[in-house]
Amino acid sequence: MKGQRVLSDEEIEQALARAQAGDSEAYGLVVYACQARLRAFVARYVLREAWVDDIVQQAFVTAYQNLHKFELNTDFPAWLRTIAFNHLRRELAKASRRHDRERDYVAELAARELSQRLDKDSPRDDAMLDALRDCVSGLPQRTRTLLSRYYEEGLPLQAIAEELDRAADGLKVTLFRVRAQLKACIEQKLAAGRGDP
Amino acid sequence: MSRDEFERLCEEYLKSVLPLEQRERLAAYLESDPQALREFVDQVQLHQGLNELHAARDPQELATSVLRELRYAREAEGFSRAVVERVNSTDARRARFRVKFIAAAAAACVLLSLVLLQYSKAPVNPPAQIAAIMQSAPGARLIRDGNTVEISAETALQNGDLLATAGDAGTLVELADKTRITVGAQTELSFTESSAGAQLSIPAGNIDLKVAPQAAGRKLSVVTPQATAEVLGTVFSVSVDGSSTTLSVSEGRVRFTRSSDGRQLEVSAGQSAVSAPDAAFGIRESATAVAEVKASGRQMLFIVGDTALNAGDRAIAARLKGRGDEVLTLALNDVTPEQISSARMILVSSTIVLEGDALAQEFGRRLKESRAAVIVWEPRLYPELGISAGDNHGRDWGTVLRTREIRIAQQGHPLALKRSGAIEVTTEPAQLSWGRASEKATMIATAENDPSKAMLFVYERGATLADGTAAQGARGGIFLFDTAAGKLSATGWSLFDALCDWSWDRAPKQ
Repeated sequence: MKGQRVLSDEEIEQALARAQAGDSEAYGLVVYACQARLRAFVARYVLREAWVDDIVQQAFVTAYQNLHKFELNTDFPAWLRTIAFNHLRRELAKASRRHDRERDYVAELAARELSQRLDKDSPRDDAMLDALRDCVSGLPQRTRTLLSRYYEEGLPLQAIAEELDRAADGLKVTLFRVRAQLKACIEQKLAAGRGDP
Repeated sequence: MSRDEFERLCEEYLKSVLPLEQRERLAAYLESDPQALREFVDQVQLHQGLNELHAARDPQELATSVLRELRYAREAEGFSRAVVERVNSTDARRARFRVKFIAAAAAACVLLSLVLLQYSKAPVNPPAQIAAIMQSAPGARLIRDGNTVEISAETALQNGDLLATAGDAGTLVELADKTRITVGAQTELSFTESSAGAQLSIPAGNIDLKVAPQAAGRKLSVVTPQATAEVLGTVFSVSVDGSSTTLSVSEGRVRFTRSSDGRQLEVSAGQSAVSAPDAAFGIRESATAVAEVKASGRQMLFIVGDTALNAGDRAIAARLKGRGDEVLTLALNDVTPEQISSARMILVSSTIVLEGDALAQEFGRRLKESRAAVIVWEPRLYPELGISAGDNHGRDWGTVLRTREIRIAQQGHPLALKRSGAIEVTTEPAQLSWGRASEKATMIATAENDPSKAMLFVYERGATLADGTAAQGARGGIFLFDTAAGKLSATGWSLFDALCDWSWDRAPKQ
């Protein structure tokens, strides 16, 4: 997501209009501009990182093939998320009925729970990524370093543990708790955004 | 389970480093505690979200990939029509088609590059020279923007250029990264360069490539009307003949994607694959690679979960190849009923994933009806094949964790290889599968500590199976499971070889 130029809504609308008229290269711009937020949406409901790539690509292809049904000057990202939502639902349904107890029953259980959450959530809700970004920026420097080493640089926990002078097992527990903390923070921000008490 | 342990196991699961036994503990815990499951899924969601937040991605890569998908979808139909036209048309008409295609491809590439570059935050100007013609065969033409350009020594190639050869092979092109391409006769080859890497489009003809190591984030792909080959560092050739594309890999690996449905194969050294409407989309051993091995004359289907083979399936494929067997390796989803009914011998790996009972039953039914000699090590298929008594996991089929030994049950049988008692079939602890065979089965070996768990057993053709029906062909169950074949001892391989020989001897004659 880094280094991605954010196009204005107007530029996206213009590109969409050209794409609807059959200019598939203009659609390349739409993909370029809209993918980060779609990826963030899809990532909330997948078990494996590789699914994100697959589902996002499928969603963009399906959207193009149905672009004539999209009404210009309405919310394209939300329409796109609805398409991704349908792809996600199919993938989760498959994953939750693998009868694969011996190999990864954890994945099967998680897929069922994710599937329920997907059905409850609204594809129009797009505030999660911003909330997560905000919450991460509010973490102490040491914790942000941990997340950066782990997620951005992909360092093994053992290496991070040595750098931070911590035990690797302790870091595993820390990561769990940081994510739990982020979850609480996100819920708080989303509730505030909705004006909940 | 303590809180700390739960949190630690969650983390290890997310990093895909949780061993099987621990995974089963975690699964049991999550199943028994809905709150823990919710917490775990919170962790999954946050983990993936943080991955997205931190990952460095090139947005242009996805845009290019989506546009390519759309282009293929449009061209798949167009190309089918064009191929028919080409077969029936005069040379003049063919030439017009080519020029149209060339112009369209060049225009599309240039337009796409311009559009994306215009909006890129940090536009990268593609190098003016993306390749050079090092050697030109008689009759070769370079077409740029619809015009023919004269070819001289080291003629530079630019984005969108198309090289068309005539009746002679031997034109040699070198890309900027030192990748060398030998272009065959009657070949059309166009070049596109982007930050994601070079793309060669070959609507007709054949090329041989010796690919230089690709820089991080770049990949070389070869696109034909039927397929895309993505290079993972290698020497390979691509040949397009009418509606068929053949990939042969000499060194390294190539990802081969069928355009019609997006299915992918990872083709390794010594292997080939074909993308064509009437050909099975599977991995074949290249004739050149097996030339040094005396051909056994045996042909068999090897059905796996994914043709990007895991360690176990890879070991099996290599073993069969080393025996001189002609093996067609297919992912379960690509197997047709005709292939099952016409095969002489079929091996089914436990890596197949049976998504739902309907597919399992359908596949099992077809396999059960087949006259082929069948060897299976997916124990969940045993009930469908009728070779174990029931389908209750843990009672009728299952696996034994971390073991090396099985126990010979019938030492006089040829498949027991004159062994007796407990024998080590793997060199390190492995997960081995078992089934509950009926008394009509010939039991060769069982679990080391449980004689009711059959680990190597066979049914002769016509024998009464566990479900009371007659076996349509020879049937064998063997203890291999997922990656176990990657750990087999010499004894384990001898048992596998013996079972293959026994099965082939009972395969239907064609």
